[in-house]
Amino acid sequence: MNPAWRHPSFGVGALLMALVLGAALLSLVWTPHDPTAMRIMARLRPPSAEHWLGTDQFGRDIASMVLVGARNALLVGLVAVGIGLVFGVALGMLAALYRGRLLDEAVMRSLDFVFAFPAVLTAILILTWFGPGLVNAVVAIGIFNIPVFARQARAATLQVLAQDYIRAARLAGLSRAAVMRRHILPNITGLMIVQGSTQFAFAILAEASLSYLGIGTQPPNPSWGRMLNDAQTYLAAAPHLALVPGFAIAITVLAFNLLGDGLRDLLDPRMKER
Amino acid sequence: MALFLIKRLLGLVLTLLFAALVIFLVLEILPGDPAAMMMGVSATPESVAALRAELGLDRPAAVRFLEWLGGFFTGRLGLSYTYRVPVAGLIAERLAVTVPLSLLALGLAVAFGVTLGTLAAAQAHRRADLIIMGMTQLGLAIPNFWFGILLVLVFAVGLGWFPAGGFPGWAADPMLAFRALLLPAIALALPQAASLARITRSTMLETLSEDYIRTARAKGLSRSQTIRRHALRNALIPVLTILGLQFSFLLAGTIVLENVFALPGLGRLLIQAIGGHDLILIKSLVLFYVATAILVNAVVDLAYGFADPRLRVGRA
Amino acid sequence: MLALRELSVSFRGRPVLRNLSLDLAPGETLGLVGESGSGKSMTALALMGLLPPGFVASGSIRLGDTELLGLADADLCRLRGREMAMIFQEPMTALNPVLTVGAQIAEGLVLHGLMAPRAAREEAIRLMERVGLPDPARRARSYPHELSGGQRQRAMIAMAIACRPALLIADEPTSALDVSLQVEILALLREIRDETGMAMIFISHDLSVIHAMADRALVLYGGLAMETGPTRHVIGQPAHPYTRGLMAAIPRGNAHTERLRPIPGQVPDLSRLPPGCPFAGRCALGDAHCAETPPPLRTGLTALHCHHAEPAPA
Repeated sequence: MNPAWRHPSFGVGALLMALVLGAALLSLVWTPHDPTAMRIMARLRPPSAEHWLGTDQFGRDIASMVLVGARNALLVGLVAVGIGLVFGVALGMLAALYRGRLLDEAVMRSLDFVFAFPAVLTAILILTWFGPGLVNAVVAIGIFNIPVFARQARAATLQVLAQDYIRAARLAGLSRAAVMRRHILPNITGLMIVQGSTQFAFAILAEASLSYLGIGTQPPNPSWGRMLNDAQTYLAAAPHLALVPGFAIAITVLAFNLLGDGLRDLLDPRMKER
Repeated sequence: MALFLIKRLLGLVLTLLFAALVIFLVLEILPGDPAAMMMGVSATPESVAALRAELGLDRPAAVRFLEWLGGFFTGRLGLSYTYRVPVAGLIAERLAVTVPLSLLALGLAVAFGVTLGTLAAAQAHRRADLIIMGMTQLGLAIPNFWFGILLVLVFAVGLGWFPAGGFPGWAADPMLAFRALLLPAIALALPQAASLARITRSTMLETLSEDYIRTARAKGLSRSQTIRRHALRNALIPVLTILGLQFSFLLAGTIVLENVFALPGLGRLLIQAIGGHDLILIKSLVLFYVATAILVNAVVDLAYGFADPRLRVGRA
Repeated sequence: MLALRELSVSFRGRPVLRNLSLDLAPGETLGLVGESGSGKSMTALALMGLLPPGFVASGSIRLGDTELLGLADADLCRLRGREMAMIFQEPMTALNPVLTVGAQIAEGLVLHGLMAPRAAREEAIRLMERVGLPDPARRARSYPHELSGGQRQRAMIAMAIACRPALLIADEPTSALDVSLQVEILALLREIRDETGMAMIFISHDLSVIHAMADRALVLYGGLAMETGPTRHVIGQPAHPYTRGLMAAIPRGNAHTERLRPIPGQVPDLSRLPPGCPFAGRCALGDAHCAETPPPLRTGLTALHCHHAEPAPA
């Protein structure tokens, strides 16, 4: 067995991750019921053989909605991290190449500025302008992620650039672009994956918050945050509604956080404390 | 020293101005006609024109921008479109909820985070450490608004010890008002405490391996005395740097938690303003939040310089 | 006053110090000599009860009437700083950067109940004056980073002698300092020792420093005592092959005619010490028997552990 699986954080994280991924994939081909079908006669039902996790205020099947919600959450994380990763790494490497010069200064200052806006407020600005919706929420979270990746990428690139073998490669006639592609990128990939895992968790939490506030995912698309908002209205009558989506969010976030921690330890033995 | 401060201050003012400009552009210039956007599709051209006149949208953008900025000092930020009352008054009134809520949550987060992180470091790799670190992973994973809902479920709906939401105001019974803020503050503090505990643990572990810790022990201090008198301050200096960032997450958290607990704070106002397309109110609220985040970060930066004697400038 | 019997220290079952026995009388100075990794610092930390986690000491350490090994940490705390104090090698990192120098010196006095905080602050200033820090009243309010390396080491000394301990352990106190500063600090330590009559264990890899400070010397190698005796005999008439090797490796000042003879080979990895004499692999007299059987103790002018060498007759 690969020793990576024995790392407790990585192992548990991977297991939970497989669970979430499995749920998302399953929801593509099968759900117990149609997650959007309303049944007025079966409102706010407790868990039963027919509806494993009960039904919501419109009689929709909670189990089906949670499964489809996994798809939604993973998509949110993927796109938000993707935006941050692509733009962040590009900008960070660019800044590192022009270290100390105007371009570096300009890029990093503007990213500092973006970072000064709390993510939810960036999202609110964008959502007020473009209107509420999943895509806009994800873009907003992605924008907040850009400076996070850019700072890391810049620092890591500078570290690699200072190595002797880079100077040797440059002396041997390798172009800047080739150095970036052949030497820098492979060297910072691990770090970016670790950060990506953490930001993935953050993106899922942020989207859930926005959807809970009613400015993220819009109905009828199922979203765990949105479900919690609905559940709160019927907290006294149907407390089970508030439990499942929250668990789903917590498990998914936990999976990515643990995975990130585990990867960091595994990729860099020096950072391991034991 | 003075030059350093002036440079810092200048940078701060520029950042704030730029933030205001971005918010102004996004909310008042880019939508084209804010008046039409605020009133929605069902508005008659006459009423839109009337609103445009009321908001002074016919005047040049630069004038409106400067007036708006000036409003933060004179208190003239215009009338809220949905509430028909001055924006400045609304903000001032709502601060009575948001400020105590954030401070309470911050206090809880720092108290629990630092204590648990220190405990975990002192017991590194033993059972207490593993339990605390496991708890912090959960604290980071549980969405704060869900934790808030769970608290309501248990302590309000179930046990009836706390109100499920709402705010009675400070004037009538301060104790009652405090009780209304306690559950949301706990929910808000959870992820903050978890991440502070993790950071404190790692800086504390690093500090405990320093030579001066051995010096202190050689002097006859017990382990716990050494941690309290020698390690804690050193370990908390790096924690301070991330406290600014933590605060900006905390601020964002108040927006969500005020909505969970139906607290009449700035965050609830903001979400209501968004619902009512009240651009006038949104504009000032967003700037208010962003400016607070930026200012707190600047203050934390300065505090960092004071907490570490090695960074204090201008001393013999 | 201090008696070590068969003191051993091991880390995860591997010995890093083996069967060390020594005695120290009040006012006497013992020099511990050895290369890095020889077990000098482990001896000092074992004495103070401050071995890093994972290190286990066995045998006996008696300070006065008290057996230190197996003592609870709370009881050790009452002795540390009060009965025995320690000076560390790195003056740069051994002082707490966020506390004033005066506060760090006064701390022990208050902790051991000798003085009230105010009196302790004044005593700290007196101590700083005693160790030759200029402008002590102002320096007491300084932070460590505002002091030079030599000044910091003086502050460390003030801190260590604050409670007038019976035993002072100095672990390479001058190794991180310039040569001219070394001389000053050594002179200061000698002065204070003579003035207070405390016993001292002086640890150094530098034989000339040991020669200047110690009445008796003990040469450690690979966790085992090689040779011990009065300093002048150990240095003047060394009998153990390792001590001789050390002496031959010291430059004597005539760079043109002299040929330095370094000891061949390298200090063995502490985790892979032979069961017998740790020096066996590098020793000119070493054979297979040396590496397998612990060397016997032979006494004469000096005492030594060796299968082959004999000490000069007393």
